[in-house]
Amino acid sequence: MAEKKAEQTDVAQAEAASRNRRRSNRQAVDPVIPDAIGRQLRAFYQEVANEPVPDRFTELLNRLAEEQDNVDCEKDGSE
Amino acid sequence: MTVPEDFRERLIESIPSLRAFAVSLCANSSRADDLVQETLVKAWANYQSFEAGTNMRAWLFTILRNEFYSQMRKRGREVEDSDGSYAARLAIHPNQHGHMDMADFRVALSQLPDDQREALILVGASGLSYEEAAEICQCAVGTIKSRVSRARTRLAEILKLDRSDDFGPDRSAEAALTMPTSRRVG
Repeated sequence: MAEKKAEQTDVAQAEAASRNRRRSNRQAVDPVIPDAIGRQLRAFYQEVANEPVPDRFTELLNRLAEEQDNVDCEKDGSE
Repeated sequence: MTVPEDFRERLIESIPSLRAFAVSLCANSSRADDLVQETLVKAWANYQSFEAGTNMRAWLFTILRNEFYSQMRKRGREVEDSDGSYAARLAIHPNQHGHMDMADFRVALSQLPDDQREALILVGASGLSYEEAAEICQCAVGTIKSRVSRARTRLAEILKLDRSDDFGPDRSAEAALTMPTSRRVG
């Protein structure tokens, strides 16, 4: 759920950034192309960002948290 | 010395953006995920250097980017060929219908110089500001603006070339072959 929200925020931010960009960078190239490029860029990015988070990352963070707990226990024991 | 729970939660929330940024840097999804993994390990180990209240995504992107370039320096040219991006360049060919599809766009994106591509992605896709992008890339805001502008111009050129049915794959391959084959990292 939190991920979903973060993605929506990302999209909103990207859209806002893109509106600003359209205003400020219009002269860079033919405006039809930057708009198409901008849309494509966000689609490219969102395609990956919308994928479910692979298990390896949540497992990694769980492992790091466990290691930390173990270290903390050892410390407590030696003191 | 315990990593706070909300730090961990925010790391997890950042993973989708980290993966998207990593894929845009190295155009190889398994290598991108290795980069993300390395980034998470470093972020975890250095959580104390993250200033609460600042943008965590920008902080994580900085770590990921530094990791990417440090790997590039270590691996040198081998990276360029082993990730297949050279082959991908040669695979460009005009789209029959003359419209930009995602595969064409990816290939075009992979042809941009690294500094231009990352600026374009940071500002144009990830929604970070020019200022945040400048901080991540350790350069001036004006430099980011100029990279983004050059990247857009270049992409437009590549994609036009891509649509030119008259010359077909040969013309694209020729253009690809004139591209520098090794990325310079300063």
